[in-house]
Amino acid sequence: MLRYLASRILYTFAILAAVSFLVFAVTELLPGNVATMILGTDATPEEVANLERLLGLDRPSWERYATWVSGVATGDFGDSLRMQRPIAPILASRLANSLLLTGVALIFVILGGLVLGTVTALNHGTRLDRTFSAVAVIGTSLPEFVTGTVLVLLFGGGLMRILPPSGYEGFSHGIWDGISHLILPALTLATIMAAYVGRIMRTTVIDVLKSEYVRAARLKGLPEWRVILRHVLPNALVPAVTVLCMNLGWMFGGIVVVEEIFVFPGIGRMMLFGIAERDWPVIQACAMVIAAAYVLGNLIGDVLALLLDPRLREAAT
Amino acid sequence: MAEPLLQVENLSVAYPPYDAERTVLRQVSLAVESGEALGIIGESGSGKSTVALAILDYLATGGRYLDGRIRFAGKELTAMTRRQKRSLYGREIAYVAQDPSASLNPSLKIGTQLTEGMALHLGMDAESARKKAVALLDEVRLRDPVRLLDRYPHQLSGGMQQRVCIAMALACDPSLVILDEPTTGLDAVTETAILDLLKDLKLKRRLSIILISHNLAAVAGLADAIAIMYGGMVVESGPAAPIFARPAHRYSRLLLDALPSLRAPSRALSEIPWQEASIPRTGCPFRDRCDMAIAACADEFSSAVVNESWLTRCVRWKDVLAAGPRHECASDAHDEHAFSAQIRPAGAGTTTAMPVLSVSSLVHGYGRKRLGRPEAEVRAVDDVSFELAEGETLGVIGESGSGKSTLARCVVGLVQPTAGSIRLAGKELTGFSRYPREVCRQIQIVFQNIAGSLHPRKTMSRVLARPYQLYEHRTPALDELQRLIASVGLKAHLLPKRASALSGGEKQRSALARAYAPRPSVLILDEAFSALDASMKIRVARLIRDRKQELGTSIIFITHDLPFVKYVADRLIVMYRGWVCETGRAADILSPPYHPYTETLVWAALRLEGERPATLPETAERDSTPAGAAVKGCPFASQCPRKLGTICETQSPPVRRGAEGRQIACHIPMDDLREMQLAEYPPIAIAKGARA
Repeated sequence: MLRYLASRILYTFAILAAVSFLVFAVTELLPGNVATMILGTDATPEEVANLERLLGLDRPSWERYATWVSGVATGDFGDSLRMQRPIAPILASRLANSLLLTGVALIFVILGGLVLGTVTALNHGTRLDRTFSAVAVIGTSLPEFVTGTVLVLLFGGGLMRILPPSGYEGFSHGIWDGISHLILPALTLATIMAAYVGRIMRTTVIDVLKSEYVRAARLKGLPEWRVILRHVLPNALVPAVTVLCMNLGWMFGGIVVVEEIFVFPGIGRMMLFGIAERDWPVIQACAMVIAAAYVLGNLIGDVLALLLDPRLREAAT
Repeated sequence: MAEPLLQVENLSVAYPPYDAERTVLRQVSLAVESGEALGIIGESGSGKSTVALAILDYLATGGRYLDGRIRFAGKELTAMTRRQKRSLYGREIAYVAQDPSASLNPSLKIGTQLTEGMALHLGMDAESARKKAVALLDEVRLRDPVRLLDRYPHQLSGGMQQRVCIAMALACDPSLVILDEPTTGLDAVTETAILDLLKDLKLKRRLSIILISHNLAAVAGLADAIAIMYGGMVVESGPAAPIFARPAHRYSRLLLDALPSLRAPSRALSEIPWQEASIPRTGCPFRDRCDMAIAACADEFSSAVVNESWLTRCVRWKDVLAAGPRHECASDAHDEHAFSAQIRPAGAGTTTAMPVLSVSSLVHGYGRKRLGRPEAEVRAVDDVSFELAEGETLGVIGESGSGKSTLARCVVGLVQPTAGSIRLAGKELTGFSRYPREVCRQIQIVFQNIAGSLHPRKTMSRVLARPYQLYEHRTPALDELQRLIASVGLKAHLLPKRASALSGGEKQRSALARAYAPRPSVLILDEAFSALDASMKIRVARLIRDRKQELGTSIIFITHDLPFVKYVADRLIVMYRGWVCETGRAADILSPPYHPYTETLVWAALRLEGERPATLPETAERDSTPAGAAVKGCPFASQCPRKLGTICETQSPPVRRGAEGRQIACHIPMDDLREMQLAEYPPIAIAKGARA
């Protein structure tokens, strides 16, 4: 099992290396000369050449890639061209905000998806089940900018003004202030995943409830809550958790849209800023971090599945 | 006489919409005396599992008790509250399901699953529950019980899992254990061991047992009383021995006579007609298939008392009884058609012509690679050679995991062999990554899981027309399909039905018709009839024989059912872990068996039939090393009852050749084996049966 884990981690690093290459290559191919952009169109060729030398743009691209990658590996993402200061500290605070947002969204997914999925499965065939299934279909099919807008219209000032639609400033104005700013964006981010995970959870719980080992457990005379906690859930969680973790990265990618809607100071907006300003070191840094979140999400999913299912543990040795 | 431990009286159960058609149990009455075993026998769909589930209050959704009552230890089960029932199940009444691998929770350790009931019902603390779990595992004869507690179900073999399930059922010292087909998925040797264990438990614990099975032999050895079910009714019930000897219901009689047996080869296999229409819901459910039916059979008939507790629902039970004990009417008119006599080619020497199929030195290995380094190769098929003559039936026998199915898959080209050659009429096939269509046409296969190999959404006429479209590029006319389906005894009205609407037996025969349609020269039947009941099997075997005489098709018949293969095959191959240990004529190979492995198979089959050749020590529990694991020496050495010594573990056994194409791979010389085995398995009538 340790060997399996080691090889998974190794794979993760290999993928990150490949991603770094792609990210660098893509930004390299972006149109427009960076030096011209910084200096404006009326800069003299000498000034441009000067700045290019200063930025290291005259060196061959493989050399610049090597410097960049070794920097990234040590946490140094270089300097922002527009803001004229190191990216790493800005990135760190933005990343913390985004991770907090994703974390809150994840709680919503677990509550909404896993819990509701289980509850509806236990009430299979009732009105509750049918209602949830219908809502879940709607939930998975609405894109984030629609849910976000609808939520703002409903709670952020359109219909009722319960929650602030924008202006997250951390927890400096008190805990409730921070939380209230997180709820709407987190809900938006969580909707699709919660509906999706809920549907998977519902079908697996229904399947497991029909299994012979659940029948065996019930015929041992165990009370129903114990049958569900001990026998049903551990087995039903595996597919849902795997899917959830595989989509963690996808969810993290969703923050680009959500942060823009709710004007949330996270890594997604930072990336949009980078793109708008042709600030390629910022784009590279953000793309790298989002990709890393994606890959790590998968890794966590694999590890969790191992912990839940002894058969997988066996196969992994 | 004291009240029986469990008494079911006049129980009727139905599913929505609760009409006669969906009434699955009709006036079932059963009794289990304390310390006795009741065997419930019946074909699939006879309602025998529903009886168990009704007693356990675990009917499928919508199931409802229409009538009758169930009394357990003097208490009315049907009148109990949920809470009362919950304290009964697991504590007083325990249940063991058919498939042990499915009824153990894959994510919980054996120990946890064993002890949870004890904590609940007996209030035991973790320490004493664990101690008891060890004692239980020891009681069901599992080795190293302490270590077993911390293992997960998937780490055990099927036989071990079933023992764990039995231990789990015994956890709270119940007075009644209900076992639903507990040995169906297991090979004969393991099956015998489990049944012996049950016999022991019954005696030692004074345990009451309900054993549900379609395997008559399994029930015969254990049960004190039996109930034979048909169409949701108990058609006959009473003490086991007299019923087995001389049943008083025509259905019981036919069912028992249809049982192939290793020992009584001259007995004809009686034929029960197929159930063509739906089972009658009033009167005798069997009357449509019964050769003795009279008008009075359609009337309601409660039951007749043959003798004390022996009840039958047959109106003509006196006439049935008059036919005499089963073993005396061995030779009736059917004997002329007994399989062994007719299908055997005129002489084994006629194989001078080129064989239809010849397989030589076939190897199929699973080479696993991890991080680039190849691991020891696992061979599912290891150096297998055989020839198949025209019109010959070759039986391939061996327990599960012996590589029989992989061999079949190699021959039909589903998997590519690692080495060796397969020739069809002299043409080498191993070079093809995918067989040409003409080769596919000539080699047809019927799989074990028939239901899974017929497209459920297609109508039968489309399924059956497919071979013609594929191989002959034409759409067959309706009457051609009708002839095809009639050739397997099916009615034309099935053609517009979807495969999913067919019964198990109909699917089986449709699959057979589909395989015959392109007139193959080789037909492979891979455990194709293992799921059928005894009477069905015999019908299908007959069908195959008839068609074979018409078309001259050669057949490879893969099975683990020894008595059955004896009736069908001309020659046999015995496989163990991918390796052929014995080959020879079917008539010779079983009487006596030469190879020690064949011996254990024959021994297990005989033991199931109630004969107990006492000599063979109970073989150890099949260990869980993967089938075909690369072993030095004889693959069977660790299990062999006649092991010579270290030579068996270090050197692979030589292949010895005997008369009539018989071959064995064993370190013991053939003549010595012959003498040893003849002493224990004196030549039985089958030797005479091979009149060729």
